[in-house]
Amino acid sequence: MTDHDAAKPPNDHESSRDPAHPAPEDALRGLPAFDMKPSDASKAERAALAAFEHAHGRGDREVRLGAGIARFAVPFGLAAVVVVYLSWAVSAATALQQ
Amino acid sequence: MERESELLLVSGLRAGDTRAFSKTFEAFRPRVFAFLLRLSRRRDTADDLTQETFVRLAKASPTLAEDTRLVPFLLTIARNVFRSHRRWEMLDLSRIFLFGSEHDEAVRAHDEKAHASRALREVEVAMGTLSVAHREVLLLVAVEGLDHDAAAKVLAIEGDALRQRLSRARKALAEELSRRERRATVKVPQGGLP
Repeated sequence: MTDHDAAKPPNDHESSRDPAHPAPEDALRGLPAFDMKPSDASKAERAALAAFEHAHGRGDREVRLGAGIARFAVPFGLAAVVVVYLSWAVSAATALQQ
Repeated sequence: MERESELLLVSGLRAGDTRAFSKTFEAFRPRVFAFLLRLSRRRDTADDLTQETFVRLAKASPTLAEDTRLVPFLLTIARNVFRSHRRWEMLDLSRIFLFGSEHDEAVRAHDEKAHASRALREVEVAMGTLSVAHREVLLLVAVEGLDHDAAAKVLAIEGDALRQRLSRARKALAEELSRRERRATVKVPQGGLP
């Protein structure tokens, strides 16, 4: 585009002046609609719905259940390991003393 | 879609209503997909970016303004995800080997339509040859029917800049179409067809 073109005030309807030669932009309005394939659309919808649920503080039930179990299981597991270790250490020390 | 229905959808999105989200997806998916297909010229890219657009809408839904206009909002996201994808694609050296071997899948999708006309096919092909900046402004204003203010907001430019870009894009499209027409005419033998 030249400077002259840039300076020229564009006219939204200048293309429609000659009905015998419709502007290419007018043809754009007639372009057909496209859509995703149904399988791709449902996949995309599932992903977006999961994000929607997450954004509103819901969803991911399995993940949250897993996190809840892990929150309790990890301290209990650690405590069990410590108890087992201590009991082994005490019994070993007792055996050495004898 | 009527403004009242759109506002109801926005209200549902803000409230976390999954039915409102599904309705929004159903109502606006084809427009977003077609916009992205005509921008990217690749169906798989348009599929991925459509999904990403709605994921971003989902994430933004709790903080949507009450008077959000969904079409410009979605097209803004779609344009941004396309721009991000394009930047990443330019850094992907493996794509160099595909250069020149790719088909314009917007044209292919056009050809799959039973009622598609040849004249519109020429427009679709010509659109594929334009720069992204020209293509996106024509898609927003001429295909999606956004007013200039809304289109300028989607493109993050001033109204005057939009009008100038639109004018340049119209000119580029018209030139490409007449170039294609001349090329088609030259192929016909001078003595005419038998």
